[in-house]
Amino acid sequence: MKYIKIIIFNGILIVALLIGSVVFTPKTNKKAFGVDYVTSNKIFSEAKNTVDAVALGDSLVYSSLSPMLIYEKHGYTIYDASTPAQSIYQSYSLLKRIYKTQKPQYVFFEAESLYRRYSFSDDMQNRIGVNIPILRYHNRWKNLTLQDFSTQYQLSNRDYLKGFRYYDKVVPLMKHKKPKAKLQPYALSYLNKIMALTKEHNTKLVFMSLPCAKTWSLERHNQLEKFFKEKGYDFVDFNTLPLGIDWNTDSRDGGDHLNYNGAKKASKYFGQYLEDNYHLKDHRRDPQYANYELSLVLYKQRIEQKEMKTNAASNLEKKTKDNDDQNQQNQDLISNEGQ
Amino acid sequence: MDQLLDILEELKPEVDFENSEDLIDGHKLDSLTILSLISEIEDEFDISIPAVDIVPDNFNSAKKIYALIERLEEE
Amino acid sequence: MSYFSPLYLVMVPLLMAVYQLASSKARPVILLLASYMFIWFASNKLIVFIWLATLGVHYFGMWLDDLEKEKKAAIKDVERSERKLIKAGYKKKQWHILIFAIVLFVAVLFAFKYVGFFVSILNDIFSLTSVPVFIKYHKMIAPIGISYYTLQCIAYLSDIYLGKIQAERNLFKLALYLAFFPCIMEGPIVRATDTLGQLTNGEPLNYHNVTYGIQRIGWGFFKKYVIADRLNIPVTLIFTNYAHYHGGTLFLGMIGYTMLLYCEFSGTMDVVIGTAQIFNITLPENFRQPFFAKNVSDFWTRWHITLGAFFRDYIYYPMSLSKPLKALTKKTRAKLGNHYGPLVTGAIALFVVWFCNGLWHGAGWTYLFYGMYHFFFILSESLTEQLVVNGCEKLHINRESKPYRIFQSFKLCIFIFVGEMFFRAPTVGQGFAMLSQTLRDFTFNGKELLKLGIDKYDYGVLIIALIILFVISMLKEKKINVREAIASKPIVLRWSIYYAFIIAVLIFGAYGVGYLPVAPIYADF
Repeated sequence: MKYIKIIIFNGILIVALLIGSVVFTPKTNKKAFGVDYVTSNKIFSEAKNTVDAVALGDSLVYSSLSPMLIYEKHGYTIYDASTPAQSIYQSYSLLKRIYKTQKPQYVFFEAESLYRRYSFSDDMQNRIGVNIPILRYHNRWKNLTLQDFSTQYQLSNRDYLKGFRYYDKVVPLMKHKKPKAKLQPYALSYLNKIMALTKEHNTKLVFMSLPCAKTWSLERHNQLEKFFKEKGYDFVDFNTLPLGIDWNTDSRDGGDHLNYNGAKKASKYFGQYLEDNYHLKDHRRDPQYANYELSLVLYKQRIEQKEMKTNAASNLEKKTKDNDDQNQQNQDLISNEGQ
Repeated sequence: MDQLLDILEELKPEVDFENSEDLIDGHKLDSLTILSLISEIEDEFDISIPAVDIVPDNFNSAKKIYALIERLEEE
Repeated sequence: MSYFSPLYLVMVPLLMAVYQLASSKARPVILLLASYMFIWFASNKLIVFIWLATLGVHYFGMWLDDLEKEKKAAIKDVERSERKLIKAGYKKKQWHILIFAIVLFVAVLFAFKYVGFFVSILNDIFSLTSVPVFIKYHKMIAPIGISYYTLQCIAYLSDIYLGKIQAERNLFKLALYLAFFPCIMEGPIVRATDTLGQLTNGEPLNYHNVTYGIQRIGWGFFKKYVIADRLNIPVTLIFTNYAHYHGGTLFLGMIGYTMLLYCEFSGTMDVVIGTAQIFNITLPENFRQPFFAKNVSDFWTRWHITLGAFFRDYIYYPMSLSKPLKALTKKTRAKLGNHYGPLVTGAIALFVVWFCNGLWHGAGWTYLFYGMYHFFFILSESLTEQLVVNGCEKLHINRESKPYRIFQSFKLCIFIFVGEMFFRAPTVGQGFAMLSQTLRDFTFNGKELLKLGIDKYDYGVLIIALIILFVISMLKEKKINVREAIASKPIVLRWSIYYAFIIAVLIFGAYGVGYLPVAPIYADF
């Protein structure tokens, strides 16, 4: 009797969690509906099979590469599917979802996540966490609407920055501890999964290290170069290429991430590098990609506005600036500790 | 016994010592009070209470404290 | 590995299955292996330290016991007058062994936890006196649970010395007593008399204990995930940038941190005690509705109970009943009277207790300050008690009446909030700065609260969760067993409560993107 009771109790619980999972899976990709990582998630609203290259990885990607700048110059369609402190589990599950609507020719993978350390129990947690929607999206209780109780999905909200994020803060280079060069075994096991996934979809997987004074070291460079050579994959280290980054003016946080100044340089070089080494199609003047032209206009407007705001802010009273700094600091604190 | 009750009442007038069975477990006597209590008992009855005997079980009621005193007087 | 990690939630059911399938003799062995596995996950090679401690405590315990037997044999056929002499000789020898063992255990603890702090003080002195010496020191990672099992070792050996218990000759039993995985990381600090007998019973799992244990674990998850983790972001922000906030916000920050600490620590205890209950082991409680206490001294019989009890039984009483202090009590009583006389001795012993208590929490000035802060309030409570009693009588205030009790709890909470603020502040100076800012500029600003990294929904959840916590605590204080009460309801209602609770913790827990979990605070002490 007791055993039957235990089974029934757990059975009902599992059913409840399954129903909850359906309810909590986002039905749109708008921020107002409590979707996390809105910018990267908006790749699911892009028109089918229009994204030619996907850049996966942590905050380095969305801070360094502006897809619209590259489109403007070369006509390539790239999307930054990057999230703060993206773990390789997230990269994998994101890429798997991307393949449902896109057929990218190239996937550029920021290699930083191979060094990200997780304890054994965090590793387990991450493996389970990505797969149970009610746990992953539980915080959407704040934004649930009636639509969530149906199974209609409306992924229509597009991002004209294509996953890029604009930062204008300038913080000169600070001292950093030398990073450890130890490839994490859990990450390598997921790396194999990603390699298999891209092979299956005939995508060329290219590894890269984007400019970062904090986590780059010659030791890491040599290690990655050797590692990927053995595996037979391309590896591009932008820290060793002549991008012209000046860490005293081009970083928003003293050498960890680039600001918009830096991103312009990195994107310019990246675009040229693609043209010289890979075969991507120029989609400018292709009527099917008209939305990119529209995005470009919006993108330029947005950047102009932001730049004007920055300039205006510097003229405002000191007090308001202090407040902003405070907020920014709070933001930084949260995002840093969250990593 | 009356002698003991007098001491107790003087220390904590608000506690009903004759009927309480949980002086320690019910947190009616705190550690400083116990210290005063011990030093008075030692004076009044001319005994010495060793640290081993400072356990809740010996101090939970006036009866138990008295039993402890009687035992120590015999030794 | 934290008691709140999913891995733990996987490990416990697996362990339950293995435990149940094993024979009753093998069950304790399984618990010991599981405990060592747990320690290995948490601290890898440093596991040797608990092995060394186990061997040491086993050896010293038997030595003390053997001497006791030898003594009994020696005094069997001798004259009464000679007996005393022989007894005293053995007692002295046992005393030396005990002190040697305690010094050894404390030295290891000291090496891991305090050397850095004292080196930094030395360096400060050198630089102040311009002696050109600088000692380099690298912080060592302490073996997990060392602060807890060291105290257990000391208590165990002292109990043998005092004749309260006999030494355990079975090394295996002793090993399980020291390493039992639920209490290795954050206590409770168990005595040999609490668990040594139960641990090796090897009784099969029973339905009642399993379900009650799981419910208790669930309650701990509620406190930790819904309350503590949600409070962590605003509290961290307030303590990092305190200069930017109004006094009202700082005050809420103090309350927030106290609640965070309480929910984290007592929540962990719920998981710990619940887990032990699943395996039919009753651990001592570590909390008893601390915020309903009458005064600071009462508070400490309700908060981290087993630590307070350790200091009371192994420092406070032995010290104040030692010969020199007893003599002092006699003198002071003659001069100051019956009430204030013993207080002098008590104060000396209390000072040592609170110095050790502060130091036990960590090597740092803020912790020492925290200890002295409580010492000060407990002592002044004792000094003024007579005055308060007389005053209340004159004003015809009933000290057992409800309004007066509420007033007491309210006053106590203010003391505790301020104390925990110093505990959390990175330096004592910042603690004072925060305190003075709170008093100078006690204004509330709603907008400021919404800039603390959590939104209005989070505040809503916090308020409701704290009300639930309050109501449950109130019921417990009135000795109503909530688990029993729910268990006696009809099945539909009962199960609905369970489901609602589980789902509420899953949904309203502050985990995942946008939240910052609290690290297990007491595991670092």
